[in-house]
Amino acid sequence: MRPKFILLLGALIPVFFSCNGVDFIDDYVPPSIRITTQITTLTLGSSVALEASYFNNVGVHIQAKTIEWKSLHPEIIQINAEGTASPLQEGQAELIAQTTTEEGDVVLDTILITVVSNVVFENEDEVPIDHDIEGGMQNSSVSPTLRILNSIIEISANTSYQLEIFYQDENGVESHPETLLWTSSDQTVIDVNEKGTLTAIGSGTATITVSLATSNTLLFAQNFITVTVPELETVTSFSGNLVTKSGYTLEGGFTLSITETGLQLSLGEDYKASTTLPGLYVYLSNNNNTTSQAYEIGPVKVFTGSHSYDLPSSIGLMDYQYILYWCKPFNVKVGEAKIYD
Amino acid sequence: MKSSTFILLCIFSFSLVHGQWIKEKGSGYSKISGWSLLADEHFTDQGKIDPNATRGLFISSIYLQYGLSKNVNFIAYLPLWVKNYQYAQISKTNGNTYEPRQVFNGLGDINLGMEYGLKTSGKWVLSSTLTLGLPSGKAVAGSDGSFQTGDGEFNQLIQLNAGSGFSIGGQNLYLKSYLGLNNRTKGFSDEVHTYFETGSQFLENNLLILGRLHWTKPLYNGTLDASNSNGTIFANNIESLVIGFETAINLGEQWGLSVAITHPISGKVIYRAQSYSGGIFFNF
Repeated sequence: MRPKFILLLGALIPVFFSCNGVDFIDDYVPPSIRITTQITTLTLGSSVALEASYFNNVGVHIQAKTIEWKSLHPEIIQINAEGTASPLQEGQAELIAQTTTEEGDVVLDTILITVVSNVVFENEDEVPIDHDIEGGMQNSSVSPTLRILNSIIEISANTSYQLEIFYQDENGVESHPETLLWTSSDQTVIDVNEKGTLTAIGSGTATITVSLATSNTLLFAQNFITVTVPELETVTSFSGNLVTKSGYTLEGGFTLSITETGLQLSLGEDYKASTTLPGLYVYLSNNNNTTSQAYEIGPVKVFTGSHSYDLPSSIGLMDYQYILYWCKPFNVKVGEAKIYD
Repeated sequence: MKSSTFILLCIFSFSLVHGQWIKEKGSGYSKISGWSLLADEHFTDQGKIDPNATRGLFISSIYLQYGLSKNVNFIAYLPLWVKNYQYAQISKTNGNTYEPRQVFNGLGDINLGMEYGLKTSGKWVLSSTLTLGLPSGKAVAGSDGSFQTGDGEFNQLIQLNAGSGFSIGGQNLYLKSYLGLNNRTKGFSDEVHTYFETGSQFLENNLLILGRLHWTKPLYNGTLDASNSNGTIFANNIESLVIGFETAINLGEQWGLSVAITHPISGKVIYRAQSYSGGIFFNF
């Protein structure tokens, strides 16, 4: 009996130690590039530095990747190698960020930007030709005229604008005199040079005066202008729905939004998650097949109804593409939400 | 997902082979066995099948049944070595290791019981068993607490057992069954257990072949879930319908070998995988 007994015990030993297997995680995702400065409009006379991030085939952000920038409408927006976009005229322009993956494929992302004027005319439907004009005459037998042709009522800060004048002397002859004097009532708001070029400095109001002294007359015209600081129109939140990718309940709407202190992930009243899972965690990730490169928000402690997670300010709105709900101990994907396409 | 209760009950059932009837005073039955399960799928709380990281359990145990008197048997199940492990998690794309292999070794939950023969002769025999599940295993183990070797609660399983012999075409068979109520503590739901087993002996009664069916149904009266346990919950509201087969052969006058396989037909919050076991049994 003893030899057989020992033999049988020996046969159990390999079973006992046969726990060295491997699970291969199918974690491939298509490499991608993402323009993370999500602006929709640009003001003439301003510029903006665009940023883009490259994510490799497992969703890892590769910071050292060289990114090329192109404008499909360079007559509207020019963009330099560093990604600084400068609008040239009103209209819409498509900008491209592209790079080459480790596999040699070119990946790109595009952004459509509308260029808007940096000034507001009093009546947008009419070409301004004579506004705020206060022609003055002293001791003149005829009527020389000085007018500002393209007066404005508003201009965006940190932009420029060229005022044009109309002058007709006492003989009815039009000309562009060299002795015009341009002044601003508040140079901290608007500066103006000898050519009539305005530079909006900061918010406020200022009156621009152009004057001309003739042999027997002092003519002048004025333009009262407000300087505004336009807010860059950017995307500040994304919304969507959680979708279960498992046999467990997970549903509800979400909003990822920028707050004063950072990002906030909010779940709606319709949110519901299974309470039977051991170790349900929520993540932000660029790979919806694994949490290995993800940002772990934390364990799920609310399973129905609205609630929110405050995220650190170091995380950008577009740093991650997915919200993942994951059973952490058993590496089970429970559900996900795509934050944006 | 992991269900130590389910696992232990499977083992317990496996251990009962040859121990179906009340042992006479001074006689007994024991078994040294190994039980193994490797699962990369599980039944969800809705009974659906989902994948999971491959987890394995290996349990080496001793089962003992001893006749204290004509009608009273002492029963003990001692899972002396429980090995709970998980495969390494490796990226298929670039080969990076996301999670290294993890292993936790420990003592499992010990079951101690007494069986009382209510009717020990006649066509049908009846007995009652009270089994105490002692929380001797680790309910929180490993890097994330999920490599448990026990459920951490003290439970009491009371069974009414019935057994009978019959013959089909000249072949003698037996049928045994029990209905049990498992009172679980610490917020776990109580469970109803229903068990059927039939088998027959061959080769001059030296070879036993049997089949079994074990249904576990929770009463859903527990309070424990992830919402009140800091997001972590194991082995509550387990439901399973498990089919199993086993064969045992006598290799000596007082000892032999047995091997068994079980498969969960359906379930909730349990692994979906076959379990295999083998052991050496002794009659004394």
